[in-house]
Amino acid sequence: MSDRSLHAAALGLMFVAAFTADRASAYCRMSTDGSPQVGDADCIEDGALLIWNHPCLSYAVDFRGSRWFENADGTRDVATVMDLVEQSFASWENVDCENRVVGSGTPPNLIFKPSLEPSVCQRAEFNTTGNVNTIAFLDPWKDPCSDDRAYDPFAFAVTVVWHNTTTGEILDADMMINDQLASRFNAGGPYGDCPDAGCPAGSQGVPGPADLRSIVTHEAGHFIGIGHSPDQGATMFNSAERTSVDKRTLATDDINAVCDVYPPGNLDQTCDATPMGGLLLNCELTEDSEPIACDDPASPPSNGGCSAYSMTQSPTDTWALLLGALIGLTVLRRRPRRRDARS
Amino acid sequence: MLRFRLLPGLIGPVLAALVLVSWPASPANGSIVQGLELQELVAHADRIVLGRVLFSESFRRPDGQLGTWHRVEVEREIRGHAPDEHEVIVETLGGQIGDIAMRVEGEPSFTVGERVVVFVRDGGPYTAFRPVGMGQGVMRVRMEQGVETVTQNREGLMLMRRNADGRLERSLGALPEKARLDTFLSRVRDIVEANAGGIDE
Repeated sequence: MSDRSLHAAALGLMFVAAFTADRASAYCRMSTDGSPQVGDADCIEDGALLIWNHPCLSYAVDFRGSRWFENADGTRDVATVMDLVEQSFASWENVDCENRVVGSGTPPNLIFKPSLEPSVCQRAEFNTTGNVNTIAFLDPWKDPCSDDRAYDPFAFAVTVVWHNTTTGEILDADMMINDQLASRFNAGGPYGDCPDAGCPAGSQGVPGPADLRSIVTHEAGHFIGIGHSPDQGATMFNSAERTSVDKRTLATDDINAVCDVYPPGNLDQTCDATPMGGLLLNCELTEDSEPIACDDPASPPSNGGCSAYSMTQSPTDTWALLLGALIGLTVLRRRPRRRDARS
Repeated sequence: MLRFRLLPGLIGPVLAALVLVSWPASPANGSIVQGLELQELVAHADRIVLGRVLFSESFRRPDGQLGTWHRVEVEREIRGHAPDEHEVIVETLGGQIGDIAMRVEGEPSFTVGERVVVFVRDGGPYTAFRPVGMGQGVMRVRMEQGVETVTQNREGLMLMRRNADGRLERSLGALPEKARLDTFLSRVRDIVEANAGGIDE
């Protein structure tokens, strides 16, 4: 074999090895350390990885449903929304971990038990006295407890994950979906249950619907602690167009994620899915139908002053960071840069 | 058999190939957010500043959620001006109080001491500003081989935008690739001057 052929063969092998290694473990997990992403770094998994320690989980769709799903009489069709949400969550359960394919067989140790009763909760909060993992459609796209727009107007959906900062245990998760009509100033609907061939196009001035199941399936990945994936075919990647319904179906990378994070175990349908602190479907009204008050808003620190609130960066942390940076710089000087094996 | 003396010649092509393979496989995503082009990012920003993060602190919001304020010392103002104020308070959703934390994929995080270019909108009744388009409104400044570069934050973001038919498709965002800081700032300044007055809502 000539030198040129050997060159080519070696290069080809390097290509295959790099590409295969990347695809084998492409997914990322959410972690306790929200350190900033720098450049094109992929997974940031510093700190403890987020996980439900008791992955028998309940959730409830807010009783107001979505404005984009109505009955013939003009009332909100909450049942259809609940059904679509249930199908979306179920796609993370219905995988065969042994063969790493969609379908029955050896499921991950993860069970969703949707509440048959809707929630009365558009607040993504966590309480010690009772909780509900609520799925709420917000129109207007704002937090009901404050005048400001906590959620970015350009977000279609956000999933709020409450967790323990030391262990990474997920304590509560809420999914908020932007139910406004999309415009040049904000993201939003319409949403629909699109046919397998894809969502229909819109008309002049009226955007076509986005596939609700695709959006909820993606967000459900965050609900269980899975972050993004550089795998372009994955539900947790961003390659699908609005017309596409690809994200409804998990790709191998998504299946690897859920099976690795929640490997097959002994949970069954009799498991207790009560949220931490007990199930509290109504976070807006007391048992006497009195509104549950919102907290008093805090004021941001004045410029140059200090705050009475806890700091995320303590002086000890700062010294640890400096020490870490010095060690890191020393290591960097001693060895060539390389990408993370997961990258 | 591959002769040893050929190996140095292989290093360049192999490294280049690895970079090419890994480059397109890097976008991060999480919250599904409408991708904004640079013109839009500028248009929706009430203030655009280059600054350094002084510190971050978390607080409880009125809705029971957690938020975090980040104090950014202003080094250069590109849009907006607040007399007698040398800092901008940027608020993000999510934070940590004690051993409880709330995380929202797509919200930017900051490291104390880092330099950033932030595109922020008025926070309403609060005096704190919000990044435009979640993490899209944060560009991180790095010194690389003596050159200051800027990279758009893509942390936890899944960027999509509507095409002419109203359908959603993948978006590259305002700054798909790393750029020189001075070049980028001058582009932003040109857009600001060309669109003085911002965008009407």
